[in-house]
Amino acid sequence: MDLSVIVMQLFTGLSLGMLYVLLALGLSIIFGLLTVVNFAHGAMYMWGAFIGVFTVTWTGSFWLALIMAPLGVGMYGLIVERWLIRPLYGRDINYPLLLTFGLQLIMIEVTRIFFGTSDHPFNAPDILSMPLEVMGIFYFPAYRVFLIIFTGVICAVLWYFLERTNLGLVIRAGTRDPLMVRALGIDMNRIWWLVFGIGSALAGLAGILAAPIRSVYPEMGVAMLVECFVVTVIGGMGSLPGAIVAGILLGLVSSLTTLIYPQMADIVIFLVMAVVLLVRPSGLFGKAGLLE
Amino acid sequence: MSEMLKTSGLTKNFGGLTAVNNVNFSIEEGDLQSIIGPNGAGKSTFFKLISGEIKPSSGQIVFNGNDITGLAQTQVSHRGIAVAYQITNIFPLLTVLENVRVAAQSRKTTFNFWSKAESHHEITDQALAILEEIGLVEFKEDIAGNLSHGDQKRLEIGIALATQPELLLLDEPTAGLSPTETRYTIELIKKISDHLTIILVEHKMTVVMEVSDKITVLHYGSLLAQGSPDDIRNNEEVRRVYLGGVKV
Amino acid sequence: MQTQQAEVGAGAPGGAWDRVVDLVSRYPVTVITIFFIIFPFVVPYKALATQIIIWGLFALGYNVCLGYTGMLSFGHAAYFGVGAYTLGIVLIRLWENLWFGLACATFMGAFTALILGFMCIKRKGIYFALLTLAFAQLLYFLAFQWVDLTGGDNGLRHIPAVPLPLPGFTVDIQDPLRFYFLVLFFVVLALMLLQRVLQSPFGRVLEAVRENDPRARSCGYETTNVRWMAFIISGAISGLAGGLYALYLHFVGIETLYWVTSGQILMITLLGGMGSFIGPFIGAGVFLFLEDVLSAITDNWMIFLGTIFILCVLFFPEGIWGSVMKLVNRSAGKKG
Repeated sequence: MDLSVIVMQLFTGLSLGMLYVLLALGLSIIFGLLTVVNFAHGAMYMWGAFIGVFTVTWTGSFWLALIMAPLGVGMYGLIVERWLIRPLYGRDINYPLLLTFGLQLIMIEVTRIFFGTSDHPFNAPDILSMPLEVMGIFYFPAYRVFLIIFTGVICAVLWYFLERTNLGLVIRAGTRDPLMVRALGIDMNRIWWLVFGIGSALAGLAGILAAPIRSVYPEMGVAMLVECFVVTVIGGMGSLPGAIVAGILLGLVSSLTTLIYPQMADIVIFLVMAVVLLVRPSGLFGKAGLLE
Repeated sequence: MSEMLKTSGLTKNFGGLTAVNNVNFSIEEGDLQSIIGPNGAGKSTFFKLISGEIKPSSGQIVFNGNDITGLAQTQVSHRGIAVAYQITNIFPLLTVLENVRVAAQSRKTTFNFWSKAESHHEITDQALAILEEIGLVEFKEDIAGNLSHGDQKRLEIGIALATQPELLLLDEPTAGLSPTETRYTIELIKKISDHLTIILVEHKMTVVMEVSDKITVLHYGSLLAQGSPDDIRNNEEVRRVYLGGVKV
Repeated sequence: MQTQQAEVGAGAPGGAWDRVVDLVSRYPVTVITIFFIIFPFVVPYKALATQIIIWGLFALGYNVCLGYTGMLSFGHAAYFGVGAYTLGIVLIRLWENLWFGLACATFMGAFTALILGFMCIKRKGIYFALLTLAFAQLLYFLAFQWVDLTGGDNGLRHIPAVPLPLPGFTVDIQDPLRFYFLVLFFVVLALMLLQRVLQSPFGRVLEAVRENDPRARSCGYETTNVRWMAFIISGAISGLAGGLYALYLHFVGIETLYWVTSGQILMITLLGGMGSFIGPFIGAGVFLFLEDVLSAITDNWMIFLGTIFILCVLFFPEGIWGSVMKLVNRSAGKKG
């Protein structure tokens, strides 16, 4: 096995890891602030991809799709939070989880009705479909390079938003102590609403970004959701740096395993999780005892 | 009389805050000793350290001659220390009897799958005796969560008693009670102190002065004074920081 | 005014209701047994009745975890699936004996719960839910890859239709009604054992742990071990249900281990109502009946089930049986 194959595979793993990162970030900020585990996150990811399919079919523009997907799913997230999840605040912490579980079943079924159950081919725009040559030995698909850079930018923007803006400050304070923030006269309901919308938009964005490199079909989010749960558990529930580190780590581990021992590819991330939990029960970056 | 519990240099830091600072405390068997101090003096943290709910940053806790520092809560309970919590901490959906019965059962059996719980008469009898003692026997079939606040606080004590402790930690047993209920609880404390060693944290000075053999004053996590109720009443420093100069 | 109307509404028929509810709460095992003896003769076909009691048994096992101990597991497909595969593999490879097969299924369900429980049980709440889900998925992928043993994606086929060996003679259980009563026998057995356990000292500790875990700990109970034990019991019952399911289908599909199965058992249990004996069976009955009816009308029946589930979470979190109990208690409270 020569070096270029390994480098290529690492590169593929990195792009997969970036998808994990986007999804896990969305899960994590929703969980960290609202203490809601969004089981519909995978279905939102799937809807992002389908909004992409729909937009490209009608307009032919991938770039428009790249805007429409997070926008559409984000708005959908706002509706879900306002009308379905908000009534459950103050009840047992498991209820939002159960509700979003039911919701994802409906979302998958609705997609089946409109788009059928088969795969939908989705091509990257022409400008991103040729390989990039590096030093004459590595050929990186341009789309994956774009995906990695674009996701990196999104992470940076998110970091800037959370660390450097007033709203971000409120959100971070709210993660630590919602009562205190409310005591300062800030309407937490609106913050929660907004955060759920942002988290959903990230899922939608991950969906459209995944569309050209993974198959687009109604159940595409199901396995992805479980993998993202694993990412958040490894990274530490509600921790944003944890989501980034664990996402990239799992992407790399999973694609290297595909290269070395393909039968283990689906299993290895769970083994990594088991090991991490035995060594560090609250995950790499997690605080012990959060929400137990 | 022998020394039952002794802490030496007991300290607990939460980040930068020192909640309990180098406390040397001891209680003789059979005594009722109160711990008083302004809010934030570290009384609740002190209790949690003794009961094993949190681990001390440094220092030692010796109970009946054995070092129990750092033992888990469950083990501390089995050594014979019980807590009646300040915030009512009962099993709200179980009956009053079952609350006490399940606590009493903890001394006998956990993983017994086959016999009927009711067939363990000695446990039920013991629970009923405790209900009698705390005056809740007439409510034994009621759902505990439906009891009045005062009754729930007494049930809280009942649960602690049911684990047959040698040392009972009472955390503000009269908080939020009416004068009548407070009176009742004082009598109850006097009654159980006949056969138990008790450490009491309490805000109502009248209660403390009436029931205590000895009083310890904590201030900002440190031990400020220790002595008989009369000593404490007349201690200038205590009066300055705690009683605000008011004559009790 | 409103109160009056409500009381009139809950008049004579309310009295009958009260008596039914009272009877079911007091003698759940007897009532369920009698009901399910009559049951196969009133449903459209026996296969549906059999499915309902198998899933009801599974939900009963799940309920030990969720309803009686307060642990939300999202990975019960693991114990159900392991039970199903164990029965199939034992009958195909080891010994064509029904008792042995079901005993192995139950044991392996419990054993899997013991192992996975060790990994998950120290965590509570949402963490517990996600961990159980992840480990169940691990088993799914293992079964998927281990084609030699499990048949992989094609499922485990050709599970022999063994007769039921009894002392002195054997009974052929190919007939749907006979098979139904075989399943019912195990359901009633499980109910009786479980009732016994719940009334035992251990059962009481279980209640205490569900009600107030920290307080149970301060009373001196090792609550982690108590929850672990409940998890294992739950796994055993789920494994038995899985074994019966494999016996019923003569086949184990890979999706038995998939997380959708875990979701389905959760929906059934919530729909019926947690923490009672009758709830899981009501849930299984309603769920499977709806599935049966709806799937005949439309391929997209999941939409309706999903909607019903969401409405349940929003408006009837106590489930069907829980809501009935609440109604009855309320009218009883008014009279009293």
